[in-house]
Amino acid sequence: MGAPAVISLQQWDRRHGELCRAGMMEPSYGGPLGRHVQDGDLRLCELQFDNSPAALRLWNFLLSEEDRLHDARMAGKCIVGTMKDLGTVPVLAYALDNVVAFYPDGAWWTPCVMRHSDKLLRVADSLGLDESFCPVRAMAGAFVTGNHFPIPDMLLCSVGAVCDDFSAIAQRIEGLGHPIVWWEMPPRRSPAPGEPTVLLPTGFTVSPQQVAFVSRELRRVARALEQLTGQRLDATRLQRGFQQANKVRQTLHELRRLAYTVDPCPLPALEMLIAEMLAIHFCSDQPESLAVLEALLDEVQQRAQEGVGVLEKDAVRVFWINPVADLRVMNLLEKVGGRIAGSDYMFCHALEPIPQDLEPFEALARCALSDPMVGTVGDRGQRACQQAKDFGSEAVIISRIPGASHCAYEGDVIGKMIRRELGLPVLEIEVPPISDTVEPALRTRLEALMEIVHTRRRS
Amino acid sequence: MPCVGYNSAYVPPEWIAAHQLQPWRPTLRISDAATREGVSQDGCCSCARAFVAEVSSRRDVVGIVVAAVCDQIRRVSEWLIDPSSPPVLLFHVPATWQTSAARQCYRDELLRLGRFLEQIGGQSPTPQQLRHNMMDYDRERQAMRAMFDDLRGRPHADAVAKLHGDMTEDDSPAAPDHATDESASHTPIALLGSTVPRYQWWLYDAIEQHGGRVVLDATDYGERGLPRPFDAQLLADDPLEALAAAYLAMPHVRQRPNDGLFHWLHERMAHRHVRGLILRRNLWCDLWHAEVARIKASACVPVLDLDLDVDASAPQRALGRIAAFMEMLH
Ligand code: SF4
Ligand code: SF4
Repeated sequence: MGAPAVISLQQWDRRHGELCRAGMMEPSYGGPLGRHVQDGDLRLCELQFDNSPAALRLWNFLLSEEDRLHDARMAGKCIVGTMKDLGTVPVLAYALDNVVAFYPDGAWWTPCVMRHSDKLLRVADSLGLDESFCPVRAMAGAFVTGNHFPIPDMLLCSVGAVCDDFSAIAQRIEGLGHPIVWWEMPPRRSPAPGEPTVLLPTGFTVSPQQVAFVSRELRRVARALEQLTGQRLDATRLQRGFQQANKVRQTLHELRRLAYTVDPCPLPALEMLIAEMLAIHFCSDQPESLAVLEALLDEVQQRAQEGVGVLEKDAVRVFWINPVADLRVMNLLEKVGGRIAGSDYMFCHALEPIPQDLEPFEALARCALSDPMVGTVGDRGQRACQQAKDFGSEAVIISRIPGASHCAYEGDVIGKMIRRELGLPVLEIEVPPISDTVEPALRTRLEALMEIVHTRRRS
Repeated sequence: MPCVGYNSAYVPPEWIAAHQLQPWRPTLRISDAATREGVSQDGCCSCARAFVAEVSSRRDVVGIVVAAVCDQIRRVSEWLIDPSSPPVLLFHVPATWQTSAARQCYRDELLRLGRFLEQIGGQSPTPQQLRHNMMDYDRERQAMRAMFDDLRGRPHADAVAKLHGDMTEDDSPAAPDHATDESASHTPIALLGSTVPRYQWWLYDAIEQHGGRVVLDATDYGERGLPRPFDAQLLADDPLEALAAAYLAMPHVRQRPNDGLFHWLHERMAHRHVRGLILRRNLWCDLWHAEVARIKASACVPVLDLDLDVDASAPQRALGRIAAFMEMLH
């Protein structure tokens, strides 16, 4: 298959032909990546990709999600739009037969992937949702145009301790005539003195009262799904659903462990970001998402065994906080000599296994409450410190999301904690959906960070 | 009496008072409140900042209650947590106000708030004491409602501020060139939005100066921020439940769904013969910002969307826009 490398779209399309001639088998959604450009995914022309068939499958799987959703609609399946909770409600939905769940929130990346040719932000502007909101405003545009995903049969959205951007935009979507089942997520609070403590999968603690409340809310969500589908979400189904979700989470866990620790780096940052996203909603096909991750894991294990990777040895180990609105910035990090060594893309609660020795709704409530964004910035910062330490990170990048209400409050606090507790250099950047105009400045700042780490290594 | 500072109409002052503590909801006098060091003012709500600055400035405050009505205030509340500062309670107000689970959640939060108040020196009230306090506040609010027809704009805002324990004189600046012709007839205006901070109470003057009068104050400090009268039977049987039911039902843009706000607004506007709606919002407030188009589309009267920053030129800009809006209404 050749040595691991990062290659351009053109190179991939040539390689795709060669691999097919050499007998590569592809799933139904397979094919050359270049075909997605014809569908409008113009940013692909400016990205660098891992050259493995496993990465090709990952990309094709991601970029064919809309087709999959439309096929599901044609096949008479129930389509559930889960919003904001990032990883919890899809586990319930996929425990049912003939249900496909997806996040309309995923439109967050559409303006980047389609290089604004989608005009979703322009539609959002026309709704009064201007750039003072984060890129998730593209979701409102997608509901209006109806061009990106089929309008779901049901929308379920978590509210309460969520960002104002999302809550406000989701309400606008409901105001446009798309009813939403809202469920409450309280701000996570540590137990009061003398109150029993529940330890959550991500290591945070919470009061049992909040776990009980969220589990009741999730039961309410389950009832709504039962009414929609006419099926019962009983304990057997739920346990089976958890098992499936946990297989994905465990595979991803091992993939992250290798990709973020082995030197040379066996898989690029961009593919890892996408792989992590599969844990949230399985890209509208749970069994296939597992197969995609397993193929990636095989590839990474083999590369680790052979001591080969996609980057130079000793690339600077960076812990990355928040997803980037422009995927190309993950390439840029590697171009300047960095690599990802640990991440908090705001959904680390979807990466932890769901406890299977608890009452199912309690188990899921614990996962939901593990969300780094529903707690304090201090909690999130502490966890980032611990993770950066565990992954042996040498620097931390906090990527601000334009317009995101929480970013103004987090960066400085988390940055200070990291400097104080780990003594690591921290860089805070802001990444717009298309970062070309700021790229020279961004590159200079990333290079400076790399230089700081190299100097520290030498001293 | 030791004082408890709080930020929102969703925190019942009678519950604090029933614990023998003085409730105080600052009316926000500090227009240039700093952010926490290192946090840019861009993206940071000025009212949330002003609350932190003002509540930290009073020495007799023994505890602070921050109702997490939005993500910004939830995050800003962390700035108050400091060993040298009074204890802080983050009070969750469910956004999903229609379910029994939400009501129970709010009630549980009230109980948690009660325990907090006891920890900072308050005394747990008997049901009878609570009932007594609730009835006192209810009467005051009823009286205030009765005054709505003749107490308008700034005096009305001041009366509500006093109900929330802000007893200081209204020393906030008037609108530049403020001279109201009391004899002239006024165009009835509804003022909508979150809190109008005291440093922007010149807004009321400016509206009057240009021939308008706020006949419906639908801001957080206005009529919208007053809970409905308590259910008499519930008050007798279970005062805490009566408290929870009345407060959680207050219409707010943050509720999900928030149709209740629109119904409430349209009904009141029709009743008061409102001819123009001014939406006053903070520059970085997503919750109100996102609803601008919907408010405009659903209102039967012209709407002025006034996004107010705290920079020095904000009053002049706003005055110009108010003048043009009022002229258009005449
Ligand atoms: S990026 Fe931040 S502000 Fe935007 S939807 Fe996600 S959590 Fe909310
Ligand atoms: S004005 Fe808006 S952002 Fe500011 S505290 Fe109120 S709801 Fe929050």
